[in-house]
Amino acid sequence: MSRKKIDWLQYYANPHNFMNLAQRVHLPLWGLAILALAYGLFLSFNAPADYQQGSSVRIMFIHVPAAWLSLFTYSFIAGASLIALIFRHPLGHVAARAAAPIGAIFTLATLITGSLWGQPIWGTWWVWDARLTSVLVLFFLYLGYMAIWRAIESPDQAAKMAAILALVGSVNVPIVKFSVDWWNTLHQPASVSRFARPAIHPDILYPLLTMGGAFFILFFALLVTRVQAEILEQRLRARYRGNLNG
Amino acid sequence: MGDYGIYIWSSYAVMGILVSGLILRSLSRYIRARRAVDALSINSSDDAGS
Repeated sequence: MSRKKIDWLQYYANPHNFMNLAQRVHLPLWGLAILALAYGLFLSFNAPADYQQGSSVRIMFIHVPAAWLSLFTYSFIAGASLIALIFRHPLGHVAARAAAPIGAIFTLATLITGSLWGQPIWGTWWVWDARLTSVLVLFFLYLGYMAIWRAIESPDQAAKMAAILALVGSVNVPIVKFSVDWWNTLHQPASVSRFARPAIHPDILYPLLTMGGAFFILFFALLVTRVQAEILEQRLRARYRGNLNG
Repeated sequence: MGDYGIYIWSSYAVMGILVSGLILRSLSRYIRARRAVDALSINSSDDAGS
């Protein structure tokens, strides 16, 4: 990692510096998230019907961005946990813990909206194919991660155990991503790729990417708010312990 | 919306309920913590990493 990156990490390792930054960005982030979501919803409901899926394609405008976010959030948790373990960055564990419920909710939303799309299009609510099963495993990993934080009383011990689970569980991220290429699945392969021309008409692609952008802005707004809440609660606990110790 | 209306509206309703629940919980937790910290005049010297 470059020197500049390490300096940046160390600067924001101080919760006081992070809180200063967060207070400046959190309201603009929320404003931007609301505007982007409103615009994305407008585009979603004004997009033309797909020639194969009909108007059920509108479910894709929330299902696909939720799936992107569920994978991104888990990668973020694993990355933050790794930074916390290697560099002893105090905010690493805080950020990972704050992100977990966001990832869990978006993974649950992915599973439910996928099921609601699958019933009319595939004729079934659920199949145990590689993509659906690996996303279900991802959801359980989120639940396990959150359960560790709740179950272990010592925060240091809980942080270490949760970080180890996050890192071990990150093996599932490429499995989710490439499951449709590695195995024969009912779930279709990726239609939007970084390296290839998207196999989607622009009329469908544009609302999809707008909702994707809106979901990511919402993620950062939620993350900043939840990290701030966690730091404030830590200050309260520190004061409480200080009072107890006299 | 044709034949798919119920599935489309159910999807958006589920997403709306889950995401708005998450937003409300996150914001209320932040506001509660912020009020408690302000009421006790706690400053950043209580931070573990500072």
